[in-house]
Amino acid sequence: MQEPEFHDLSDDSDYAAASQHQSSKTIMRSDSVKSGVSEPSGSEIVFYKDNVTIHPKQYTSDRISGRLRLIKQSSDLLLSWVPYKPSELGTDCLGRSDPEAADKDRNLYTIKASLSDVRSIRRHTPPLGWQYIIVVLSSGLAYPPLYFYSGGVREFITTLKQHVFIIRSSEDPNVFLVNDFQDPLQKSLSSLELPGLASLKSASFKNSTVSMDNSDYDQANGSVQNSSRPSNKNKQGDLSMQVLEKFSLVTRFARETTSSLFRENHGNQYPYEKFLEKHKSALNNKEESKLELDVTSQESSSVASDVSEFDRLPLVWGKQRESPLSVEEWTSFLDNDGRVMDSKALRKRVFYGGVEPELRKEVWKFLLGFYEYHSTYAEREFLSYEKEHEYQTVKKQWQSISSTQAKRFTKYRERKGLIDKDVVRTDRSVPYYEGDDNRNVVILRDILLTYSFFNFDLGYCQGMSDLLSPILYVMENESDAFWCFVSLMERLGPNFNRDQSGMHSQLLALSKLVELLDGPLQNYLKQADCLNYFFCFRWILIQFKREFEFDEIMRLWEVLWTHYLSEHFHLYMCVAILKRYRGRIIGEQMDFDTLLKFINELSGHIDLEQSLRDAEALCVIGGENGAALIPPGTPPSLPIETDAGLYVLDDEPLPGIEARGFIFGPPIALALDVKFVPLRKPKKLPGEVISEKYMLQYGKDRLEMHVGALEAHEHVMIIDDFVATGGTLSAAISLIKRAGAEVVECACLLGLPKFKDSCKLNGKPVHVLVECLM
Amino acid sequence: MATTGHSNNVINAKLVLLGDMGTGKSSLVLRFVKGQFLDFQESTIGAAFFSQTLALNDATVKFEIWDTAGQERYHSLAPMYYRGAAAAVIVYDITSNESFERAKKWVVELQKQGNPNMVMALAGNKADLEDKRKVSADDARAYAEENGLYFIETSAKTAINVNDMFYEIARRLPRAQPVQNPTVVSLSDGSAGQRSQTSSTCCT
Repeated sequence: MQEPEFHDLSDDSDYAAASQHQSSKTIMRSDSVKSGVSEPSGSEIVFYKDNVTIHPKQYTSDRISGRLRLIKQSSDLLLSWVPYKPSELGTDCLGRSDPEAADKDRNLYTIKASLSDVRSIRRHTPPLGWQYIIVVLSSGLAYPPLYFYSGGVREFITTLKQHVFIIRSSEDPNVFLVNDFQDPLQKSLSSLELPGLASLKSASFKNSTVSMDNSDYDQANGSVQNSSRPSNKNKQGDLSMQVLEKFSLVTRFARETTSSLFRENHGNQYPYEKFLEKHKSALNNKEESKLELDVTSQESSSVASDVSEFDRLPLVWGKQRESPLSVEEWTSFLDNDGRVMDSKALRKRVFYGGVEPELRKEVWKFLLGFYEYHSTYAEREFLSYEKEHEYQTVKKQWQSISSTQAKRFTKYRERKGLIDKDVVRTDRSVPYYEGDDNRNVVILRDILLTYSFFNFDLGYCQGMSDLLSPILYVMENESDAFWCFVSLMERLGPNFNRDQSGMHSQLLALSKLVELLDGPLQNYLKQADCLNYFFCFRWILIQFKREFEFDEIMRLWEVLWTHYLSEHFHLYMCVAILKRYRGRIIGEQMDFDTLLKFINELSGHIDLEQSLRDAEALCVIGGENGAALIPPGTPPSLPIETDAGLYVLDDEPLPGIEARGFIFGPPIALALDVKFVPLRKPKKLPGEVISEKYMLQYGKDRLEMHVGALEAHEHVMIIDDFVATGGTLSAAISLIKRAGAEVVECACLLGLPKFKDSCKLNGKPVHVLVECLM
Repeated sequence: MATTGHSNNVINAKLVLLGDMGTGKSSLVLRFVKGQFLDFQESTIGAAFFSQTLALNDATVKFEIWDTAGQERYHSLAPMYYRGAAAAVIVYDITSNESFERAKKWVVELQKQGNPNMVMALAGNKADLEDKRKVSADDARAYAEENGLYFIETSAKTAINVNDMFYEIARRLPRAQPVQNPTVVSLSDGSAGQRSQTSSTCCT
């Protein structure tokens, strides 16, 4: 029997995405480029497999079988899955009672996608049941699982590997990342159009995202296909249009997903089919994508009328939140000496579930950066001890000011006055700070006053007491709380810049994110003269502190501080909340005053878990487009000059190691417009050199560099082709260090698996593009 | 938003509260709007917006009240809130000379940038703390008279003079004139770079 229970997918997060595909039918239809099943001339089928089947509904036995193909078309690789036509099937072999519906489904599920639009492919090879794959597009859209009834998943992946760039995900060996440009090095490499990567890039704006074979089924679609949609497909060169189309895919996806999940969450309360019907007729009548993307707001009135419909449906569509990190789990993240073995996995875990309250005292110190992930128990104990001493030293600076001295120290009196005024009105309803002569209020004051001496230039700003209060509550220790606050202020300090530049840059980034993720809202705010987003000022300045209850804010903060999906997750939170209330904002035609009042009064009424899920989904959907809208250095990112990322390399030279490092180094240096510094084998460089000996598996060698090639205190990234033992790279790092410069990171094209991910060599991160299995 | 508006005796008036931090701006508003007082009113981050309607003999005044953050640090945001205001209450704390000095600075700033028709009130708050008084009422009144301000001492805690102050401001607001609307005219002439007046909240 072919029952889906063989491999129950209900726990599979991908399945949720995949099942959304059903609701994306209309997306495909309207966004599709009419294209036949037959391949155009000049294309070559490099792989095909029969009896690849989808199961459109989870709990029925409906099946649609078809043929999966990989088609090479000039430099592009296409994935195509076409269901068999009824004639090819014989009678009723699907066991379906409704042949017309079967036709319709067949039509709906046809897949044709360029691999350049694919983000990842997940392979499932359960011991029982059929193997299947799930294809996830870069838009976040996923196709339904494709079941290989006759096997062949492995050949499929192998064939893919021969034609496109695939990396196995570090998190899940069954996930293959296609076009994974998250790594900055890979980004720069791909921008060079090196051979092998070129095909990916050239295809990136091809209009083959999701297309439908609708040649035979126009009747079934009614007039949808024949609406007066302007033909964009002829304007291959019109990049902006292509981009806009992609955006429309995203927003529609979002909406469709909403309805799909609504159905999931609320059972029969809202008949989905009814919604779909309604939506179809809307599609018939309107040029939907234009409607959503029209930034000139010519159609703003119709936007407004259309909006109420979206908002009738709740938006929750991010990943299900997990339970908080438990004590047992936390211990499992630590090695015997107390080092966090996989900090990324920990951050991910906290991002999706938060932390049990009794663990906060420990885990927050890592999240905030007071403790380093790779520190041991002993090192941390020592650090706390040292820092306690240091804290007391700074504290004495103001404690030792006598009253006569204070009389002539206006600045000090002012600061103390500000802090005294604020601590007595910070979280006084929380039991920890409640009551007269509360000791904790005094500690709060002491920490803030000490901080204003520790960071005298910044001093005390209103809002800081809000940020410190939960930290002190969690730490229950003055010095620890102080240092955690110091770490937090490293990132949030710019929020308090006198010229408001830190706030402005975040509000600007927020505005761009809303433009990307919620066009109609942005249009409305533009029209209402609210584009400065100052109504979100409080949200951002103190990280939603005033918007949630005390226990909720601790949950939100630990999630934000993981910086897991984005350092600017708080901005996606803003978008999520605004989006949820968009119906009212637009419907009630709020002007700036009303909007600010409305937003302030949302305090205490925002559903945290829901907003986190919304924000997560928005962050995923925004993807790189979203990230690209937030300029580097926007708080809470660390200021650019101390950021050990590629940005440091702006004007810094790029050393490469002979010989094959010279293949990759110079083009990257050219692309970054920086100087290339050759590190050469002995006696090759003509001028005066400094050299570094090192051991190889097969003997000794030496690296040389011109004296003066690097200047002291320059920050550089070393480029090489291949890292096996790290011997050569280590020598290069030492050599550069001796020249007075500093290696920020190393980048290699190939590397042994031990150099994947967060590997460090002499304390410097090594990035490897392709992992070699040897 | 930006102006007094009139329709059948209803006046919409934007009012902004300015003053040093901890002088009791939010407490005054809260007392006026909700009749409440909190011992530990939390500090205002950014700004808050309230509205309250007062019925007078000749008109109904709907105040749209902007309550701002007091710290000097956030000074650069203030123009956004006082721009186009029909009335301003500048608050100081009678137990703090510094807050009175700061109040004077606000007066100067409003005189420089604001609207000549703006009704300005100087409120010496925390009048219940007589034993801690630092700013004498006479000094403050003299300063207010020199500068054409309406002066009153208030206590948000005991509610003394709070409503009276707002009533007096309401009475001093310019009334509708049948042909032209001088407030609006003066506003649009008043300051450059003013926010456009598209979303006027005149009741209709």
